[in-house]
Order: sequence, then structure tokens, then C-alpha cells
Amino acid sequence: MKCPKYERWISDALDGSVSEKRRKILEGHLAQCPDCRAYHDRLSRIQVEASRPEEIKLSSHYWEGFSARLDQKLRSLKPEAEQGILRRLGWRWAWSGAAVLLAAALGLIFLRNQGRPLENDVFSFEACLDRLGQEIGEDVKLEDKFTSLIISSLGEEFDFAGLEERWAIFAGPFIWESLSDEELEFVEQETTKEIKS
Amino acid sequence: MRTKRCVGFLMGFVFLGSLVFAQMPGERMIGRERLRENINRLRLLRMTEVLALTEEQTAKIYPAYYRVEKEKMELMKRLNSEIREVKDLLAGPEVKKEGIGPKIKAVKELRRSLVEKEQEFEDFLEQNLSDVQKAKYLVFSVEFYRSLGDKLKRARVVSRERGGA
Repeated sequence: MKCPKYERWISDALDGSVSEKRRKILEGHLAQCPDCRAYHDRLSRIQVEASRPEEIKLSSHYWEGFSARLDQKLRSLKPEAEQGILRRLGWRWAWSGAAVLLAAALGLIFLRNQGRPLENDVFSFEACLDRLGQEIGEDVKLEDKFTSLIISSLGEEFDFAGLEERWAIFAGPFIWESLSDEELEFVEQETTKEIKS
Repeated sequence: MRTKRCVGFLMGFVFLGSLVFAQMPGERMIGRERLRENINRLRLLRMTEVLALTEEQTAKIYPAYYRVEKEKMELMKRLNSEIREVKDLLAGPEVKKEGIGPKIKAVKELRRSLVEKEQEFEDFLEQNLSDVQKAKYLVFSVEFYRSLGDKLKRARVVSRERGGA
């Protein structure tokens, strides 16, 4: 066949799925091309034959054993068919399975890392407090001494800023804007108490 | 000057924050909680200084810090209570198997919530710091935690000396 495009159109035209415009073009082409005309005639004959199946007369004896024979045939074919499918799909399934397993493994690793233990994170404040808590344990003396060291460090920080500036900040707008309702309420209560006393 | 103003601002906030904490209804601050709070204050002061936070940054970061810290304190209290209950279940000659499963689940859940809270603040901080400040924050964190370890070592030496004397 020299005209693959018209070959497709002929097939579509016989199925009734070609547009009116194409059908007209095809008719013009068939008038000129003997090969395509022959192909069209051949396909048309096959279609006509196929649409008129010959009625086969079978005895009642044939139909009586039909189901049993069909079952037997299917049973004998099944393993072979399954094997064929597995052979055909084998590698495809293997690769798909491997991809799914890999995705599952990566997902698990990701989820595990999401809830990773704090102890392993050197940047985690909670991890640091955890370690300190574990080291202090139930040792009250150690805890007291450590607390006093922290408080003295805090004192040093306060000295650094100076007493005057510590109170001057209340004049700025930022401090009031950043307080929560709960904190503002508390400041108000305390101020009211101060005024009364 | 800017840093000093920020530190001043922060200290005011820290001061107010401590008053609010002290107001927690019907709850007396126990030693470990107080220690945690003091470490938090020290961390904030040092962080403000090291990162040279602006007033605007401080005004954003500190309320968020206190909010997350308060939520973490609540989680810690619940976690401690759950652990005490697990200890009770394990105490005695015969282990009380009933109820252990849900307790383990609760402890794990609270621990996961703590990690999430910490991450929440870290994410917030990330959004409000410049790249240089982010880098400084990483170095600051490691050094601050190391300094706490050093303080604990010093405290151990002193308490041992006093204990021996």
C-alpha cells in the first residue's frame, strides 16, 4: 500500500467514524488510486461476510456436554495462560514493585526523621535541656549550684544593659504593642494594686 | 546603642514575662521549672546580644518565644505526670500490665508535641532573621548549649568540694 493515510481513512470510513469532509476527499482519491480502491473493496467484502455469520446446526447431544468440555478446556489452559501473563508482565511488575518498595522505604525514613529523638540534635534547645536534666538527675545540691550559676550569669547580663535603660524601655511603644491580652490584664491588675496601696 | 536598647527592651519583657509566669494559678514553681525559666531568660538575653536583634525583630520574636515556651511548659508538666504514672505502674513486685500501652503512647505523643513546638519557634525565627543572623544563630545555639554544659561541670566540682568539706 502506497497511501497509508488513505488506508486508515478507508478503515475508519467502513466503521462509520470518518468526517464528512474526509469522506469526500477519500471518494476523490479512490476514483484515482486503483490500489486503494482494491483495498477498500477487500475490506468491504470482509465486513459484509463478518456481519452475516452462517448459522451452524448442532445436535442437542453436543450442547449437553458443552459446559463440561468448556470447563475442562479452561482448567487445562489456565496455568499456561497465567504463566504467559506472568512471563509477559514479569519484569514490568518487578520494576513497579521495586519502585513501590523504594518509595515506601524512603517514606519510612522521612517519617522516622520527623519524629527523631531529641538527643541526637545538637541544635535543639529541648535536647540540651534533656541532657542537663539527665545529668543533674536527683542531685539537689548540683541543681542548686547550677541554678545559682545561671542566675549569676543573668545578673551579669542585666549589669551589661544598665539599670537606667532597663526601665526606660517601658516608654517605648513596642513593649505595649507586643504584649498579649493576658499580659496586659496582669499589668493592669498589678498597677491598680500599686495605686491602692 | 541599638543593641543596648534592644537588650533593655528585652529585659523589660523578660521581667514582665516572669511576673506572668509567677502568676500561674495555684501552682508553685518547683526547682526544675525555675531553672528552665532562668535558662530561657539567659538564652534570650544572649541571643539578642549576639544576633544584634532590632527592636522590631525583638517585638515580634519575644511574644512568640514566650507563647511557645508556655505551651512547652504545659506539655512538660503533662509529660512529667505521665512518666510518674508509668513509674507507678512499674513499681512493686508485680508489674501492672493494664494501662501500660496507652501510657507509652501518651508519653510518645507528648514528646512529639514538644519537638513540634520547638520546630514551630525555629521556623518563626527563620522567617524573621536575615541570613547573617541565621548563621549567627546556629553558632550561638551550639556555643550556648556548650556553655551550659561547662556551667554544669563547674557546679558539679563546687558541689563535690562542698560535700567533701
